[in-house]
Amino acid sequence: MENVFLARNLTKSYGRAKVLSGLDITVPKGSIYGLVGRNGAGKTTLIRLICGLQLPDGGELELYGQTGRDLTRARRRVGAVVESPAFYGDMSAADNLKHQFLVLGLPDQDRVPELLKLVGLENTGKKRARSFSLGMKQRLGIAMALAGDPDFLILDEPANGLDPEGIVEIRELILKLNRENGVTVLVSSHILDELARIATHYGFLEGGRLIREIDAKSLESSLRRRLHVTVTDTAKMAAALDGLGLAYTVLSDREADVYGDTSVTDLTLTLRAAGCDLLTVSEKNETLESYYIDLLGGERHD
Amino acid sequence: MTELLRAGLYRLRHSTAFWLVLLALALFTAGRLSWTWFSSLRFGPAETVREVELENGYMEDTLFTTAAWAVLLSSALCAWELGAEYQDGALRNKLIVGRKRRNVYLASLLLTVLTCAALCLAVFLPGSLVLLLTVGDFTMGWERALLRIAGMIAISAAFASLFTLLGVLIPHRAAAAIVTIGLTLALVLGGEVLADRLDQKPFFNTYEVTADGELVPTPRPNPRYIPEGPLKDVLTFLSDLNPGGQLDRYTRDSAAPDPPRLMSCDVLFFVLTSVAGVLIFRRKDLK
Repeated sequence: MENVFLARNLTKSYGRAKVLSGLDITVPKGSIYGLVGRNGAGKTTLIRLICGLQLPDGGELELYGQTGRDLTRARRRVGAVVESPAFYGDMSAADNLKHQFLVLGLPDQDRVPELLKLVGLENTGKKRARSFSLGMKQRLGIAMALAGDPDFLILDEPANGLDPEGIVEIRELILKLNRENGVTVLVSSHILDELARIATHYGFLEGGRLIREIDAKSLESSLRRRLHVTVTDTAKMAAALDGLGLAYTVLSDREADVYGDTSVTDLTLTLRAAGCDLLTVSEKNETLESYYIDLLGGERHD
Repeated sequence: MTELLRAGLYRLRHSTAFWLVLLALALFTAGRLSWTWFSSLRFGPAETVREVELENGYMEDTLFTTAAWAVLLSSALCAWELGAEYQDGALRNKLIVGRKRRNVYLASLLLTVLTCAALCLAVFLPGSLVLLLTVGDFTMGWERALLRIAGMIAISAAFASLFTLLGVLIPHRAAAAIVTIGLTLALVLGGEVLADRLDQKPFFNTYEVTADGELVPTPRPNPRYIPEGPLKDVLTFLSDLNPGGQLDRYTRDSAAPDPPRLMSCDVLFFVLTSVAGVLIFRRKDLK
């Protein structure tokens, strides 16, 4: 599969703080790549490096096959919203877009109304961008990023500040751009459920390194069945499950999650034999969120 | 680069702050000179006032002092606008889409120069018009007046290059505005102090009273005098290079500026600060 972007052994420090330490990442063409990681994991720094806002201390960046000085030219195919959306607050949405068209050297500004309609800002008229709601600002930022008709769209926390309706709109927009226009999208987000609805690939960042890179199909097959149980004594339950070789997460003195293929009857009998009663049981599928927590070393006992 | 400049001009056209400052300066200059003229009319007929003005050049001194304010105001405006580029993140939009850092910096610089020059013209155009309609001419003559105006615009361009450099170094909008205004004032005051030292005469003219009760002039050495030599040459060069010091010389009627020499110093100052700015901006981390 052809790659839009790849980084090898990327390093970046701010003073003494090492933010990226030997990061390797590959974003395939046509994918929606979800970047997942806790605060300070290095997501935004990686995005800043891709966008040329900062320079790496070491390692290699490749964008559309271009490296070094040629990266600048390759960035003409990129659109991005990094952290907060960037625009002039004292200008209207249309004027901001016209300005961005001029920056891009596109004299034909016929696409301005089309872009405003695409992000749902067609009725903002002369209203200054400063007085937009958070969601409208976010959408204007995305419209600015789309002004150059990019092949590669980078969105840093695009759902920030959006209401539920806005989140759905942005999700549909990303899917539309990806499916209909073939735009490759790199999205960083803390809203994992939302990310799980769109991403075709995932990269999990921790401590400035990519700890796992996986496509959505592989992730789906690796997500295990989970039984949420309430028992009389989780300590006795743990001993019994260790004997069976089943993975589990103790949530409290009486609650736990049990992973793997086991029948409720077998589980009940095993626990009963260990002197622990099974009070309630409900079946749940493991989510991206639990996969992520597990990956970061949550208190699961495998 | 052309595209960036075109975009910058589009932005300037839509900048409320720019138009407000421009309009305020034009109105203030026209109002101040008109008020000076009409106040003078209380002391005599227009013809007499005109003759006095042509001899003393009081109104044109007022015009050049107002232009100095334009330079100071442009420092605040440029710092504010450049700060907005950083803080609103508009600068990022240029780099993300593959514009070279050098071109982004140079386009900002050119735009700042245009802004400063426009503010200077907002003073000189209405001011000269009022002067023409009232006094009828410049005391120093049109040729020298135009040379001085060109000199003031060159100073504003030198300041513009400094403002752009500071804008690059200080990404925080309010901090950039404070430092820019503070440094501008420091350069003006520093220039004044330096010019004062360089203008010192070697001797004081003191007088001693003899036994006969006569006053005899007795020159005494001036401790503030800087003798001719390498130190004075260096200080004179620094004084000429400092746009704040130049501003002081253009506005003090006792100091006779040499516009061509000062303008060449402005060019040197402009080149030095711009090269430093480009080199810093090429490696600067942006957020």
